[in-house]
Amino acid sequence: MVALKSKKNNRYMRKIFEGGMTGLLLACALVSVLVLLMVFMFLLGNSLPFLQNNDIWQFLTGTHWLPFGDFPSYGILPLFVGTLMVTLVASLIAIPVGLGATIYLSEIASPQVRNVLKPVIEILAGIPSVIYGLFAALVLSDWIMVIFEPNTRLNALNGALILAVMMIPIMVSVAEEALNSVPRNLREASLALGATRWETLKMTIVPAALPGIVAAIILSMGRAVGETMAVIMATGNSTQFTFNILASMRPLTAALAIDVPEATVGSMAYYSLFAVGLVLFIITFALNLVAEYVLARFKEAYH
Amino acid sequence: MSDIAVQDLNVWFDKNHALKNVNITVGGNQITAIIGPSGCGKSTFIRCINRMNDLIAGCKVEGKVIVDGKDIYDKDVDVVDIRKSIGMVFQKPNPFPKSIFENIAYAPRIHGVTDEDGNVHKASKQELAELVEWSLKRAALWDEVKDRLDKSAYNLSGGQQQRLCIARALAIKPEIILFDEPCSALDPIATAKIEDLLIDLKNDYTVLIVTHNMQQAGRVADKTAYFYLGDLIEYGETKQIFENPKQELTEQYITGRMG
Amino acid sequence: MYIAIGVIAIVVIAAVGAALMMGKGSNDKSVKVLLLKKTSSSVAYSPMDQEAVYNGSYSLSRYLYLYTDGVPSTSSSIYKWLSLIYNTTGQQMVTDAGFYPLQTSDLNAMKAQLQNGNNSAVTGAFTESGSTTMTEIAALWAQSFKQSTGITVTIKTPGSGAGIKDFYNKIVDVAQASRAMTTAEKATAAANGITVVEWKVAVDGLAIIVNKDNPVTTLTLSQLEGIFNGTYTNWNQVGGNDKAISLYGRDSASGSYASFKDLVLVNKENYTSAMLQFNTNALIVPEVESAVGAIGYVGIGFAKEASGTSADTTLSEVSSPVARVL
Repeated sequence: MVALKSKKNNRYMRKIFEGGMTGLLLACALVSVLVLLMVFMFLLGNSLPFLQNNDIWQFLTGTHWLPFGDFPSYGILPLFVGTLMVTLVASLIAIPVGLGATIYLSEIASPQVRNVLKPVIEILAGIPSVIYGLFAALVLSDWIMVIFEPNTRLNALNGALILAVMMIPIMVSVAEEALNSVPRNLREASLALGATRWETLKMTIVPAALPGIVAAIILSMGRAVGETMAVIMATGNSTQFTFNILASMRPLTAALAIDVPEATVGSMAYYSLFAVGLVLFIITFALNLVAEYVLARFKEAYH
Repeated sequence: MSDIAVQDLNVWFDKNHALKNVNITVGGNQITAIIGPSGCGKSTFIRCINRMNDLIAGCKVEGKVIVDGKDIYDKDVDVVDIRKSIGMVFQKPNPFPKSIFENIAYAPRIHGVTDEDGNVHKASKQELAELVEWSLKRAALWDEVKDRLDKSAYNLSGGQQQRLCIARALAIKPEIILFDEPCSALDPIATAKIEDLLIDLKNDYTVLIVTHNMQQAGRVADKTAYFYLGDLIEYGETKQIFENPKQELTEQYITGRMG
Repeated sequence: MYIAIGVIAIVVIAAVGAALMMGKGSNDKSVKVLLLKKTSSSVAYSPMDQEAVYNGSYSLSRYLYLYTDGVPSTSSSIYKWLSLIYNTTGQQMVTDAGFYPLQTSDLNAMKAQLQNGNNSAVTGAFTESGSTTMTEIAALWAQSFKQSTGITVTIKTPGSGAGIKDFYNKIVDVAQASRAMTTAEKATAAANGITVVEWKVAVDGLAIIVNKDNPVTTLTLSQLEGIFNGTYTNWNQVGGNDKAISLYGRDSASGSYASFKDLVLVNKENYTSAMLQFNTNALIVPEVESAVGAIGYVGIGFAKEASGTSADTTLSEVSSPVARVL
């Protein structure tokens, strides 16, 4: 009887323990969602004084950004184009180079080469943005001057290039994981059918790893959109509205970093900056939604 | 349908001498089974036939494997070419994460279609469709999937997937088909279906099957080869191997005293 | 792992070497300081001309300021700080940094203001925040102050605007600024219980710098205005070669941004949005050095260093008063 009773206690204790653990883990998951929600509410709440008292259309499409002074102007189009241009050009460079590097590392490099290159790339991912910014401001800009002869040494191209350099390690890490996790037997099946390595890569492995590759691209684009330090040092921060990649621009993140210290709490400029933050939040959110959609579509096709 | 003549085949994986001086001739119009205990080298052997061992780092092969009068290990032989005329079905079904149609059309899309004059041209939509239907019928899978060719291959059962893999191999119109323990992951009913299929295929192809299941060898194979620890111990008519083995090692395996 | 570090080290060294060799020899480069004249028929003055800066003949003269909460009493460390600044040593340091010391009348007025202070709140180490134009001056003062009194003054330079904000939010004890506090800022300070006392500490002539290969040597004030409000976009519109004008200035947290705007963009217009904006003076000089079509504005101390001209260079021109107190 004693033995049975202690067993019952043990089972009871275990139930409590497992219930508690489940609850704790659930709480952790909820915390993340909660924080996200809080950030959004924070941004929205502090943007409302601005949004309610200003023309939102003018905000989104106005071409002059000057939140201070006697006649402030709150058009974020130049800032938005700044973010767009540097991110786009950076992606155009980083995606082919990053994927190329990934495929090389994953499929072609010998183990010795891989053992050197992979840690190098991972270290690159850990270098602080300010170092990249310095490099762009002091060295990269000179190279661009020599090759492209822009009017200003600091320009959007400088920012785009350094962003590309910062995007590549992230992309390589994530995409390489994706390529490596394609089961070996798929590779064997393709080769046994008489396909070459390249054909196997193109028709089997890359399509199978596509969700991971898309995730890699979106993650690195997210970094580009959100990068502040390096672009401030690289792009010259002029507020002009232009699509000329050789001109100086100010991305959304740079505008926030430059203007927030100057804004008096409670002024219209202050609230307008929250609206800018809200726009940035929405852009990042949208990027992730696109990624989810792409992943879902492809997952559907294969499974 | 081609003969395979293996002469003095030796295989090393780094220091491990996996296959030792194997000499064997496998003929067409029959099923040849390779049996033996785990680690005896039967998978290694069969993977030499289509040079899949080339993919393994540290693998060294010496000797000759002559198919249709040509040694496939000769220096000027393109390994991709060889694999076009030798199909392989693996132990665990490995369809691509694509639709049933795309799985079968995979290889013809890459290699094109050979017409009567021997010229190769890019497969047209019509030709692909015909080829897919033919392959699936030959693999006894057509009736079960004809209405859902565009659905994912992963929706099929294990046995169906394996027949899909067989159909996929058939689509390249090979001379030889290699089966590496094709039924070990399948239930008895699925296994029976595949064994029936094998017997049907032997009429048009050279069939080589590795199996750890002696009874299966007894059921389907015309000839059987017994491997042990990298050596080919005995090779002969299946009936003779099972009823009247010449080597003692063979007898020990057959009777279950070892293995 | 070690090989990886080795590879990175080699790449970094190579990149730095390449950068150095690519003519980053900024010792060879320098900038040119422009002369300014009020109208096309006036006399042109250089900011290197001390008299011209003092009496206002050079149009972009201004004071550099410190702001405290009330007048410090003699026991306060801030009193000692201001004493140092207003004696010969402190004013000599202003010259050492490339700027101009206060004229006698201003100096006397400040010394008089320093009498009869009653705020003894700060007696030890204190903090100061603001103008990047005053970085070197303040550093020289702080170093000497530490040597003579042992008291540490912690200085940060987020720009005059941010420094003033820190001051009226009571985050720092003293603000340093290259422009005067606005009425609104003074009101906010008062609302926070701060009695704003303004101290002129030095005189600056905002220098207009261009690339040394730019043939233009003089501009009128209205030409300068036209350049910085975006009306003129090519040097050939102001007497130079056919080259697009690229502008380098400060950002909105900067005092120089504001004082330049007041002095040059007199019609209350904004800077052209094409102007590149930097958060310190120091960053403007290398940009102007490396781009032929560049024009920028910096405190005179930075221009002297960059153009390799000593503080004693003067031009024999008749000067008229337009000094701005720093």
